[in-house]
Amino acid sequence: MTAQPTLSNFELMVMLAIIRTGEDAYGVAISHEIEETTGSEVLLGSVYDALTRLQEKGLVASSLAEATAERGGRAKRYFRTTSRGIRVVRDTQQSLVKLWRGLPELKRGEV
Amino acid sequence: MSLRPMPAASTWFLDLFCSGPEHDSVVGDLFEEYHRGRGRSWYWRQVLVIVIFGLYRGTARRPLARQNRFSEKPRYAVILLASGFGTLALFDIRWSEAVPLMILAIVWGFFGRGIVACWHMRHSRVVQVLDLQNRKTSSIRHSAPLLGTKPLGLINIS
Repeated sequence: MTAQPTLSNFELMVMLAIIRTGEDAYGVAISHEIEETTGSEVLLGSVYDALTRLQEKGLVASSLAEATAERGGRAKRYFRTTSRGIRVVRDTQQSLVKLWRGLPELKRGEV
Repeated sequence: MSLRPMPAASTWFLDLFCSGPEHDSVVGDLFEEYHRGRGRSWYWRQVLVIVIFGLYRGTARRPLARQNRFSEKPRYAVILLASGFGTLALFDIRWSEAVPLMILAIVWGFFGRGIVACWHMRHSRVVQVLDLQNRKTSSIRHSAPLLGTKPLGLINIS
């Protein structure tokens, strides 16, 4: 049995953004989704760095699409989660819920 | 419809480091966002982060310096310089505060190894290493006496 890859906080955000964006999940759409959810600026370079790592772990797959003039003639790359990726996200969610359960309510940074 | 021209200096900087096909999608996304109305400072920040990540990943994946576009020491200086500009852009630090640190980073990038070598030559002593397995001895420079430690298997001849 191969070891289950772990996700960093940002990698998990990227995975969830891909799932939420659906068919249109390319760099800009993914970063917009994270920006709208978290309310802070996301750097495209860091999104692509996380996507590269996720691809290397086999959690995300990509395919090239059309190139347009506004993109300087460069092709779009669409991302989708693999079945392994979905499984890892679900396992991470379960672990986080387990860790969260039983914690006292957090108030003003105190436990 | 005519498109807004891209900022020349940052686009040149981007082309210098990220012109390969592996960067096509991220550079395309960057152009697309800029044409949708993002500002020049946003563009600069994004370019710096893309270049820094690109250099980092490129260096990590290609350990042989001879295969790369730059030799090792100028590469370090370029990475440090890019990091300096990145810090300026991200944290809004004043030039007067950042310039001395950046000069120090460049000097260290180019001459750091030489400075360490000079310090080692000045403060080390010649010791003879005894290789028990092959029954041979060889002389090396060792800085451990300065630090107050004496490694096993070394005979001091100086």
